[in-house]
Amino acid sequence: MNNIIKQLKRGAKNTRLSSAEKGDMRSVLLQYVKSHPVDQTVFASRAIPSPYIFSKFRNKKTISAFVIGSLLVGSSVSFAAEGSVPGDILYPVKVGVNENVRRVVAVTPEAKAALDVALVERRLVEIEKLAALPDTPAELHELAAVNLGKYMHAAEERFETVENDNDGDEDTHIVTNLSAVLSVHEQILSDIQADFEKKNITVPRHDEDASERRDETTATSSVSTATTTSQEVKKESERHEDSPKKMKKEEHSFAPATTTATTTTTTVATTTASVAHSEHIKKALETVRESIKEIEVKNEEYKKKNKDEAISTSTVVVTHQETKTAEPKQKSEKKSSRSSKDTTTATSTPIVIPEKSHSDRNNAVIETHHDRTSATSTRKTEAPKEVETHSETNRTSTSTEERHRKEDSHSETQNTATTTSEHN
Amino acid sequence: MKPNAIEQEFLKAYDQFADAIFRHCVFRISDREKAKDIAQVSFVRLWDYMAQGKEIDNMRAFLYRIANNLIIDEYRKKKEDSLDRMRDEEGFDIGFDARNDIETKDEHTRALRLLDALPDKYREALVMRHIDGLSVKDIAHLTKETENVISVRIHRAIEKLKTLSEESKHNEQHN
Repeated sequence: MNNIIKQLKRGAKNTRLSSAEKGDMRSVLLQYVKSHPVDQTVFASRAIPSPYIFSKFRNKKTISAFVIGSLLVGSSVSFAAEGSVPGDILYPVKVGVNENVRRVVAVTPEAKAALDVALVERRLVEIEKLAALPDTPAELHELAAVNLGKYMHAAEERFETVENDNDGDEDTHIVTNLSAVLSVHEQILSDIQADFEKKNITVPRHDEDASERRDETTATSSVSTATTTSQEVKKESERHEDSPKKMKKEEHSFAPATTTATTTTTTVATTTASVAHSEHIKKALETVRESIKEIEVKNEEYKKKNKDEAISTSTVVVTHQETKTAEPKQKSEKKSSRSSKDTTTATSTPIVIPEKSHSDRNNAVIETHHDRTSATSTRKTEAPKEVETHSETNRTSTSTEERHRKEDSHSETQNTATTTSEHN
Repeated sequence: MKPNAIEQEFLKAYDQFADAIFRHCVFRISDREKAKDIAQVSFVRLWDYMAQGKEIDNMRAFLYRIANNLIIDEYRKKKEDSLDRMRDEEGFDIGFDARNDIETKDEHTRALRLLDALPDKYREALVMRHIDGLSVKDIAHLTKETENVISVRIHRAIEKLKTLSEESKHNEQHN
């Protein structure tokens, strides 16, 4: 048997193509190869991409790396964008991405309203930051102011929708939140403005050499703008007579500005730019004040409404109980309504200085006036307290004292107004 | 891979495997000219495949598979022809090259005739294992059978050859 296999193997060794046959076959095949060249379209990009391209492990790796990388980059970018102001590269990320994400996350109406308040606060912070920067173009200031108006409007709208949907408790909560935020930033902004005016005084002293390059016409124009600002201040002081200390402070800060504009000489660019700068801050301040006013008016409305409801419910209860117990209640209601009236008159002031901390506050204002740098740090810590006391005064309304104070302040502001007009 | 490189690879494969494929064909169909044709067509098919830009992992196995398929086609084509008639009337070219060694040639012819009498699946396995020197694993892969099946087939092919050889010897003695 093994023989057969051996024989076959031996035969196989001898079985081969002769060199001639092999050569012939080779030439035939070569001819065939030449007549049937390689399909070039194969080497072009494949028309239909493979659907299994994602199943390859290598691709999975790259995809996961890409996802992780994009997460890292995205999170760091959005984190970096948090501190941006209008004009920054990352500002659109802050407004367009971060805040939209927060909007999506805020589901309940309360959360939405709280977010709106937070966004208004952010816009205010931006304005403050811009004010702190030395060389910011006017467009950015305007943009920031427009943004503030927009967000304020949105917050107010939210406010109304919440009011329509729910009972007053939440509304008042939101309103107090918003008014707290606004008053805090109003304080900060006015301080910045005062700061700025101070700087205006100091700037010309440094630029004594530049006075040679002074242009008469531009100087007068700057003077005119400065005087207009002072006039505006005067108007404002007349309008808001109830906030004597604050306005006095502003008066202080504005009056030297006019004097510097008229007496000392400055370069055209610095004056006009700084005046524009202060204009923008003032605008923002005005919008803040206006909205504070509006919101406080609304706040009072809600309070009234709540009290009316409370009265109606209480009267229902009272009918079932003794009339003796009902009488003091009604008295208290009357008292509270009277107090609310007082506060409505008080709300005509954009800045209500709380009664209890009156003397402290005066000191604080004086302190901030004299020592700005230390005051800016303490200001923020003081501010919430002020708001709290402010709301307390609304409730307690020591009306007689306030009236006295109003009268005093009225006379004071009038005095200062006259002095400034004389100055001009 | 560039077109030129593909051509080079093809020619290299031809030089390397032309004899082996031809030999396989000879032992499978017992016809030198047909074996030559089938070998040539195998390489043509190989080129057709390579020209599409497809890559081949195992060139040798690939060529054997092409050849195997062509041989099966060839069997099917002339199923009606009896092996005996083919051998007797049309002549039997055993593809043996060593023309001088008449004794060896005679023995080889006899072995080949025995091989010819084997059923094709046994012959296929036997040729691949002992003539082409492929491993059982490779044969299993080529024929899409399990290694076990191939081992059994090789074993049975040898057993069959044994009985056939004894029978032919017995017949010769009788004659």
